[in-house]
Amino acid sequence: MKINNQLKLAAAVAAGMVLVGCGSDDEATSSSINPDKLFNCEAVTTSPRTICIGSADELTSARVQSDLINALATSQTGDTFVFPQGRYSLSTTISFQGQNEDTVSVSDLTFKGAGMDLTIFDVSNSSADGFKIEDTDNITFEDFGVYESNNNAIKVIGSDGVIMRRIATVWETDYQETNGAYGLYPVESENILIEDCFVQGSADAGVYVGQSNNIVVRNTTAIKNVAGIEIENSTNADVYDNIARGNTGGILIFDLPIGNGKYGSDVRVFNNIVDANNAPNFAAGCSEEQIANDSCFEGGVHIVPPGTGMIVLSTSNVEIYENTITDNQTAAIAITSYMMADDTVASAPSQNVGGADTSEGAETAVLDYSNISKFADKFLDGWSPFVNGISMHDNTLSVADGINAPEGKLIQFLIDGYKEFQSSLGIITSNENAKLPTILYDGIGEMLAVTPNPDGAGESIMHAIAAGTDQVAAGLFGAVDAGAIPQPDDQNDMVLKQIPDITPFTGALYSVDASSVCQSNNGVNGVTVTAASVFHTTPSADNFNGTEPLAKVEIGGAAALTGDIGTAFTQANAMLDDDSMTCTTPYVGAAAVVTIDGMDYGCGEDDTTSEFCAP
Amino acid sequence: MKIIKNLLASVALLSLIGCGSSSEEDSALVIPSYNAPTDTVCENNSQDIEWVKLLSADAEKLSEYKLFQSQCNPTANPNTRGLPYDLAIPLFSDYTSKYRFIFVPENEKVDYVENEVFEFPVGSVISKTFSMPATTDERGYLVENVIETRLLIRKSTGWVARAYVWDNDKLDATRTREGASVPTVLGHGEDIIAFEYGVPTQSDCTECHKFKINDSETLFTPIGPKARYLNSNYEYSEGVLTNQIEKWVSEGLLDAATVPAAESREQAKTFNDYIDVDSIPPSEVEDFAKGWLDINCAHCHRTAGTASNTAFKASSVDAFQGYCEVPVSGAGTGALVILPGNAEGSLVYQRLNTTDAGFSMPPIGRSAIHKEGTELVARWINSLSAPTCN
Repeated sequence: MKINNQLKLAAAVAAGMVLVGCGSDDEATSSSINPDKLFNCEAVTTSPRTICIGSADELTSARVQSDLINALATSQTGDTFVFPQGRYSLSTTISFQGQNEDTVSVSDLTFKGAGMDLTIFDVSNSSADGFKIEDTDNITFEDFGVYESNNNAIKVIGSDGVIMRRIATVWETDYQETNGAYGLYPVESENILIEDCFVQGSADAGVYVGQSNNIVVRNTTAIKNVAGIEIENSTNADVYDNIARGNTGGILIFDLPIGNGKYGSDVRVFNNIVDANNAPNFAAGCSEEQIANDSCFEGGVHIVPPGTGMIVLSTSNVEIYENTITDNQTAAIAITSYMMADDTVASAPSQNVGGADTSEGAETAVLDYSNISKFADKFLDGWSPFVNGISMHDNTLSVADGINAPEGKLIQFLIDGYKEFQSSLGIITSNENAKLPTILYDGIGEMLAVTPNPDGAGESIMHAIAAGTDQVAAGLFGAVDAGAIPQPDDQNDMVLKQIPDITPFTGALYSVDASSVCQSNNGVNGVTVTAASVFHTTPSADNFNGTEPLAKVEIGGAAALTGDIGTAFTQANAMLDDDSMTCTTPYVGAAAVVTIDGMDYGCGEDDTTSEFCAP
Repeated sequence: MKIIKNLLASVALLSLIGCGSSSEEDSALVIPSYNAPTDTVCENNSQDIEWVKLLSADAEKLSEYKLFQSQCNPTANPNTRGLPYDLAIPLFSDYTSKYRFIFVPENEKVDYVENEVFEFPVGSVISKTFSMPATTDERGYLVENVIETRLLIRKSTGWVARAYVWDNDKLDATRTREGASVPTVLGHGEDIIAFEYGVPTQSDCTECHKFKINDSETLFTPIGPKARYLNSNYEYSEGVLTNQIEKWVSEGLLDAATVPAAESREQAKTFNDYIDVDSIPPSEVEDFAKGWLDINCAHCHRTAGTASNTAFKASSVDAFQGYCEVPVSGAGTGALVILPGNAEGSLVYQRLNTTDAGFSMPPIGRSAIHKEGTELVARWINSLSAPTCN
């Protein structure tokens, strides 16, 4: 177990965060992380080469930057770039696009420093990312830190084989909206290993792995970010042995409607310490105007409720086990469908749409999928707003006494509901915070997925919505004469977007099974914690008032809830009357295997000692 | 005069916060004046281009290639066979004047290609010189600060890029891989704009010039020399406008057999900073705006580009994407990519109408706001009445 080392590191970095005044040396810094400059590199000129950055007699920022850019321009496959010890200020993004200056493809590069707190790149003077590396396979980053990026610290796009090892990405001013976006940011890549890293202060996610597959994130410490560690729209990921502390939300598993065919599932999160993630949400949010005119993107990190240990948002097949998730003031684990982010996802498709005819008096023209429904193209693209196959077991969960203070955009609706309910029962006074279950589950996606469409032939309501979207789009496709499809420079070229892209709808995404969301053996010292869905997850006509879904409390009121409703916060008054979240065959994940250059990484591969690798 | 200090202002502000010792004043901005060098080495001298040297692409000094009659002046008088050209809509580069030349070896010809970049024979060279005027009202080599000359050289293995930064004495230019930052004060209409002009690094070249054939293969290609941008007029001799494609054919640069009939050639709208946005008829604003987005954004924001994972596609070749789209990741403000009818609420406009590091677009190659192009995009978005986004 390496967690203890990580803890020490986090403490050391935190302790070193006293701001100093204006520096007087040639590279002024506001940080106390200013290691001595030291050159310790021996060049190797035969392949695989070692390229020394800087020299024994010149270790200025300008020299380091110059050497690095020149080395990349003249790189060869297999090169290792060795950085000197010290803090260096870069004035431009270190970019590599997979080709050297003779446009020869280059792979298997390694960037290596003297240590994550010994080689520091201050990139606050670069216009965008610190490092931006694209289209090169088997890229390794080891033993250095990237500080104060204006955008992302290290971004890697389109690479097969990414190792980030003992890398620090840091923004030293706490909770500042203008801190950069992502710390470690591999995206649209595969076979990604992030281990023994440290990420602090990101105004988005410290570790963000997006639109990728085969991922291991382990032994990494994330503090004071909006999101500590986030796996988004990605598949086959193991997140284990990490610490997420002091973030707004600790570990996030998101699947957002992004419309490029890349959607997430199959994630295991285990043996992490996820504690005291109670930071304010300091991400830039939507403006008042955006909210007023409903033009706000509701899937951004600004929705993360402060005080949430883990959030699973519309991602299916996620196993969460043997984690210690404590002292988060809103909820230990929140599981929600995308309905919580944006309930228009369940709006019926508009039937009142025509073809591309925009003349007066014509039916509303379909200029875009959004004329059918806001999420039509995302349904057709294969996205599902639900959670299904979630298993939470054997976690140590607690919300410490005295810090219960639930808040947050994503689940504000649920919090308000609890507050109203608990107030009406006299469990809390109107001045007190609502008491949320330790495991909070919205349940509404499941309800829509298990409730038959009243006018249908046995399909669920959500299936009907998605299929209706499909029918409208397909009908339009049939109705528009191919010769009449507008050309790109026509006024109506928005039509073009959706005509060629119709993917046959599969209903499987829009149903859930008996093991939808399961929890067992979670708690402290054998005391099972509260876990509850807000909406009924078994079908009943009572679940709706017309087309309006009703939460449990709205249906039955206090009197209808079984059990002993005392003044304490118990499972009974957590609205737990038909859903224990217990399952006979909960989802069991499989280990993620990261294969890089013939070497396998992950549980049971290079790691045969970590606990709980096997579920 | 209104003072726009962009980057310099924010740098100054930071130092104020840090140390409280700076005394930066707005009035510090003075429009400079530039003069072309008069050294004897600058005299015109018609010579043979060093085609073999070009193929090795290894000259330390630009003059070694002998592309121009004057080694000091990369804006005029190319040696044989060089021809100046222009694009119907240029990519914005901080209001620099851009001087473009195509050089094609004797007995070789360029093939016309629909939609994409023309096919150039091995040995072809594209030279583009970026030169900063003191004010945008008065341009020309004699009154500009020649900053950099970029070459694209077509080797047998493909295109390579070389950037040469002009020496302080402006007599020659020196190869750079690292780029450079050039503090600049520029008069533009009523404004005085101060910013750091950025010469790209070697890798920055690839970022924009990369064309993804598929998931695992990429090509390096030029961006500008496409039919739709070249199908416009150029003033080869004073007062005489000639269609560039016709000229390339008549000069024997372009293989006539590959060129479709005039009416079948693609054509982008002609837009530059001398065209008043107000003069564009409302019915054509969309075409102008999309043309501007095409040349400024679509080398990345297209399926084959480096921003293919975003929800914004601006190429006039692919289907346009962005209306009501949510940004994929890392785009900040919670705004939709394009909110029809509302430029201020659209991420595309927000990221054009800023110079904030990390937020402004394009991420490289722009330090000042392109007032005219940004206004054009704003008008277009505001003119869209179409769908609500919910």
